[in-house]
Amino acid sequence: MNTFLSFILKRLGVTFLVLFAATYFMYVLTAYSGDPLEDLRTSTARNKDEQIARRVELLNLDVNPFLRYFIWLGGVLKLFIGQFDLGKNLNGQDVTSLVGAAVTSTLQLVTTATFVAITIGITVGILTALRQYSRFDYSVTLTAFIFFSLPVFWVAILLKQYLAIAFNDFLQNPKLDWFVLAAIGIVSAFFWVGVIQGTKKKLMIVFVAAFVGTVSMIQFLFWINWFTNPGIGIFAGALFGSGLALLVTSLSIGLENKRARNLALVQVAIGVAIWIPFNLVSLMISPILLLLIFILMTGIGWAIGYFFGGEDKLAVARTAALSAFAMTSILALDRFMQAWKPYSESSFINGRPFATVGSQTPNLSASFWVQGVDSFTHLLLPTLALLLIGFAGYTRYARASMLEIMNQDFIRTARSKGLNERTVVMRHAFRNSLIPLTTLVAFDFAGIIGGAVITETVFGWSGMGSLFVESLKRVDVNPVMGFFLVTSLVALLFNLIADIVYSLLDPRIRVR
Amino acid sequence: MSKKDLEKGLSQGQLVRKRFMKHKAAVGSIGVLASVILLAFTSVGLDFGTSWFTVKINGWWQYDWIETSQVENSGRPTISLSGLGNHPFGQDEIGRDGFARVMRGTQQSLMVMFLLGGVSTFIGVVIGSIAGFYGKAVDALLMRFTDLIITIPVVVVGAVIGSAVGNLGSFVLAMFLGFFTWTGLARLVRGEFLSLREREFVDAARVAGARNRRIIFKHILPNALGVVIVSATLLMSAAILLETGLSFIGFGVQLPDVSLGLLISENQAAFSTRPWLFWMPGVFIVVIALSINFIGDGLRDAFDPRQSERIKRSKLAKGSSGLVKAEGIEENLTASNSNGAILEVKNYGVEFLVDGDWYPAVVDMNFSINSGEVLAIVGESGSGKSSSALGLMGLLAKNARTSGSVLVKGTEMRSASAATLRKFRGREVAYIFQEPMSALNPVYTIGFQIVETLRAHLDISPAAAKERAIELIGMVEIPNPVDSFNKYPHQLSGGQRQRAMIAQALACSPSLLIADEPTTALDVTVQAEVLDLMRNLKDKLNSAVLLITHDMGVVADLADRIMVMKDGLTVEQGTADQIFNKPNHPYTISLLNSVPKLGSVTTRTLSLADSKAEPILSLKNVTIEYPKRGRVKAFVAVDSVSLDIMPGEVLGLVGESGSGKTTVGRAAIGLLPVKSGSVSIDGKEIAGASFRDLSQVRKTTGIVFQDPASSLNPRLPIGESIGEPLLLEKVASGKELDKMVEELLDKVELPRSYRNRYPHELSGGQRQRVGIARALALSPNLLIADEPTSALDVSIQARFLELLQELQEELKFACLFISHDIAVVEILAHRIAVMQNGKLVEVGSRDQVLTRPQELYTQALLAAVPVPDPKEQKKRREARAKLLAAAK
Repeated sequence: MNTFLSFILKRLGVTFLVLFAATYFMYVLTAYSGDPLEDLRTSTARNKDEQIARRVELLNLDVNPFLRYFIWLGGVLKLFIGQFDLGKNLNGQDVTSLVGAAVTSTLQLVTTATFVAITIGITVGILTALRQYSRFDYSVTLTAFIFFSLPVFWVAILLKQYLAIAFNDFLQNPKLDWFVLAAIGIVSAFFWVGVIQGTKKKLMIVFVAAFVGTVSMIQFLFWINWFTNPGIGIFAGALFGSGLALLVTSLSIGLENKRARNLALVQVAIGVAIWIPFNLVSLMISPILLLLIFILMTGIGWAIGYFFGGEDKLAVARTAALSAFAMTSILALDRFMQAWKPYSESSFINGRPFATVGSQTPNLSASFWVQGVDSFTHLLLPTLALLLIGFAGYTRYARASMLEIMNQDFIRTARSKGLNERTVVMRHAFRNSLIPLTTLVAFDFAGIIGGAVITETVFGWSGMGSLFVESLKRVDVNPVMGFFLVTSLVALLFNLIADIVYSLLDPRIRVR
Repeated sequence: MSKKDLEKGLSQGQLVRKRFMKHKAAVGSIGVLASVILLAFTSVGLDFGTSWFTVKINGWWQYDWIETSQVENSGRPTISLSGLGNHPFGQDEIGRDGFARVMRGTQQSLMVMFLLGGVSTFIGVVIGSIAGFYGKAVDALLMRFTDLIITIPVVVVGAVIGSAVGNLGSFVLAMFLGFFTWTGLARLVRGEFLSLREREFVDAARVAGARNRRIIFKHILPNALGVVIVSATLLMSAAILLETGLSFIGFGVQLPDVSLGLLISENQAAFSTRPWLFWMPGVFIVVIALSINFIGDGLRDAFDPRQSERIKRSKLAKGSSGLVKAEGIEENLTASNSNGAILEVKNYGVEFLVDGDWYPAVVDMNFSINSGEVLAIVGESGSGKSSSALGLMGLLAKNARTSGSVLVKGTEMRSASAATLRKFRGREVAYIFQEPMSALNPVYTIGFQIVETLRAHLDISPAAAKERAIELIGMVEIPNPVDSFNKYPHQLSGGQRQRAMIAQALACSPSLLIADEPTTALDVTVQAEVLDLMRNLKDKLNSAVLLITHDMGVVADLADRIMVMKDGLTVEQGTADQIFNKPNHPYTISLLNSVPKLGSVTTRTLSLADSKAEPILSLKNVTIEYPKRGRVKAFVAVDSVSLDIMPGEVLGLVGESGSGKTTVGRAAIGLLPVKSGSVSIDGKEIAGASFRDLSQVRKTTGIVFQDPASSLNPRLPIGESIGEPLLLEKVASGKELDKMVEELLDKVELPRSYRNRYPHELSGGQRQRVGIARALALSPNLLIADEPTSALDVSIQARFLELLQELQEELKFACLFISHDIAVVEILAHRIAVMQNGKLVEVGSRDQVLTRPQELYTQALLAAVPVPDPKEQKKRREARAKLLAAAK
């Protein structure tokens, strides 16, 4: 453990040296990129000279940037005496608080997008690797290539112009032309044919079933006015919950383990049992309380799995906890959906819920659930834009990594032992394919705050990106440096996390 | 690369082109990209200028990109066949022509893209090569520098740079951006260099006298070219997205000039009134980026054939469902069960799909095994022995299909469902694979992997399974079974790993054990132990064993019955006694004759020229240390070894893996620095000698490397490889050099026309002959041969050894012959030296070391060598048991 600690400390030491050099460079470059007094010089105010003098004094603009950096650095290093100070911007506002607010806003935007991109990307990547050279594989590959080649700002504007507006129009009068409906059905049918393998006859059945299923499902949703007043309801909730529980069981331990399957279904039953009480008290729930409910439910699931799990208690506990988490998510999702109707009918929204600019509806004061829906409608488009671009990369990486592993000798050994395909794929291949993926994911996480600059600009999101862009345009060095410090700290932090996770995943490089 | 291409004799470059042409999207993309470039640069002409340099050429398009004209048809796109007076991409609100502006924007974006891509590729290659080639401190420094640049998000640096120099024009912008986007490429190139510089052909070039510059540019860079080209393309597509993104937020190309990103930003507000102005630049960005990505993908396929083996889905489906049924199998199903065979194979065949055609790997195989019996399938590489074993239980890759009938205890495996197959695998039929390091999952403990097998088949609790696993680990004689249960494969030695593999295979007491080259990766003493273990366990469990091996010694040790395979056909089948003592088929006879047999060399008398002469190679108290590398501790590979080789003498250096024998060979020719002691060749000290001094020494020495696949530069025709020492030592050039190369080819009995072939067109044995020709180019007095035959099949090895003997007798060079195979050393060596754990254990004349070994280790080593004769091997086995018992 000692060597591990010294390894981490050594890393940190090098990291701070690199950080020093990088910030110095950026500081000087930014300072020389233009004239921070330009707006005052061209102003017509009578006290112009006085204003200039005040700003020069405030920001020490009379000091050469090569030395001025150290004044800034001094403020940063005050961290160690508890007075962290990133200086002031041109208007004399405190950069530390500006950055603080911007970070929260940006994190809100990028975390969802990144998590969803990673989850979908890795899942699809692995599916394509397992179905190598299938139609599904080829279509995903083609899609990934197209997404790779899309400029994010262009996609973002298109999403704004078409998706948001079209969807709002649709919600005002929810109905679909028959050919749109048919097109959706055909797309879904092709998707399922791609994913499922089998004989021609089986694929024909899958195609027809998927088409009919999708179309009738959409018709049913229209019939119950689901699009204007969405929700899940206790019966569909129980049904979805059971489906998810079975899926989780089959992936995590295998359906042949009856005990695990039953305990996973018990979690669904618990969810159904608290359904009505949860909805009764839901108006009193705060975000923290909801988080606590999630932790509690997952914990209960884990405990039930552990104590009734029999021989494989850890694996069963994992399965039960995942099922409990899934069920709680359904519960919360249902409650958010119920807030949809009051939200979209409120006077702030006027029936056009999908927003194209900003991170929230101003002055909207409503329950936590309605606020949640509000965040959702604002997050949807930028998240989608980030997602489309990020997802393509993860698909390719996951596919390549999984293909590499599936060709390893130990996969053949696993098969030769008579293990079933689930165990071979999930336990032997997936676990190993995560090792190279970790580094990539960590690198991406490291870049997320800096990477959202363009998306934030398009969607008028007042986060780190806009702070950076606006300040850079005005040659406002301190906020730019604040932005830069945060992004590089995050980058370095995630690199460190990558190293640690890497050594946890791969026993071969574990330092002992 | 397929056999067909080999036959056609395509060069590396032609192969790359051929594979690229197969990627239709990539070929199409080249056309699309070329058209876009042509269109952009001819339509509105060129108009660039700085204060000191201007270019202005008019284009064929009638409108200028910056001048306004009257707005027609409220700016809507209009097309007419005459083309004149119309605006296919519409007009903006002040009447500027959309097409002209998009073309100008495309020009700018393309220029930034190519410049940026070019600059960053150049910097990336330079920094990556230097870091990867020189390693150590230079590497550490450069990589920290790379870290520094990577820390800063590209968009951020780009924005800062754009805001600082954007007004200086797109040229300057692209150059500056290039300084910050090379990091990914540098890392890739560094990685390639790090792995390529360890390849033997780099050592060979060094020995030939090549300086660093030649090694980098002639030997390493051409082999890293694929990676560079592919990443350069991907850099370009990233570059255009970066430039347009920066221009979009206002930090890239500055007004009044336009780029595609700037056009989108400019027309964003007019989206609802003039959407075409917004759409067109976007479509152009996507088209350019997409075609570059496709070209990159095509290049990747072309340079990395592993990924390009695209299997036609239709062919595969036909193959796996179209089972080739041999006639009469149905009746056999019931009839065959009577004789109690564990495994019964009839009319069995395996085929592989290569380039759309099915190639047979195993044809019409028939055999059966009863319990307690060992059937060995022997054959050289490519004989189909491994494929046949894997195919039995459906473990072959997707591009393979099987035919005929495979009955395990009366149940047909070939038509069995996946579930039935799973039930049999591991439970009834268990496999032991060749390389336990790669055949065991690195992230799970061996205990876990054994428990997993047990629980897949038997209904037992985890605790009981663990207990049973520990029992199994003890049974295969791994020390401390309880502790070893929790060990990962990498924490065990090679022999222990193979024992763990055996324990896993035996977990469910299978009726049939299929051992595919179970001891090939092991040292000979460990091999003897593992063979003993397998024999004992087989007897204990009364399992049938199907042994796949190329090693006749192993066969003689274990097999009851033997099948000999060649090119997918069974040439002979019989009891061990029949095959070894009364072989019928000519192939079997020649195979047995090719196998070197320890203690059988009596014919060749060795005459030493002059024993009073000065030694040609002299090592005195040589110690060699591999320095500390990161977290790996320093390691003494050779510990004060003293050794002399006389002129004309062949010294065989034997030892097991890790004994330091290869290290000695490399130090003897100056490839490795010695820590202390002296190495002298022909009386000249080379420890610590300079490059110039070594050049003298090099003329008198040559080296043949172990792996013929890695010791020849894949990008050089073999004539150039052979001629390199002659060229670098300025012995010959031009016509004269060609003549000498041809003579060398004659000497190693290769056709002169092979001069222009590439290494991949040659077989392993031929490549090794090229290696010898290169080593002998300067007529050296001393030849270092480092395991030259270990990668060769026995029949090729036999011919190779004959050739080496003839050459040695003719040219009278001294030779340090390094090998793990004592039987091979016996054929060639005058004297034999034995090494163990970096120390010299014993040196003496051949007969003395082989017949009267003084040291216990030498005795054990000799006793462990299996000889290809069942009766004699039985005696040797018993003798070895006695020896080991006495040693205890």
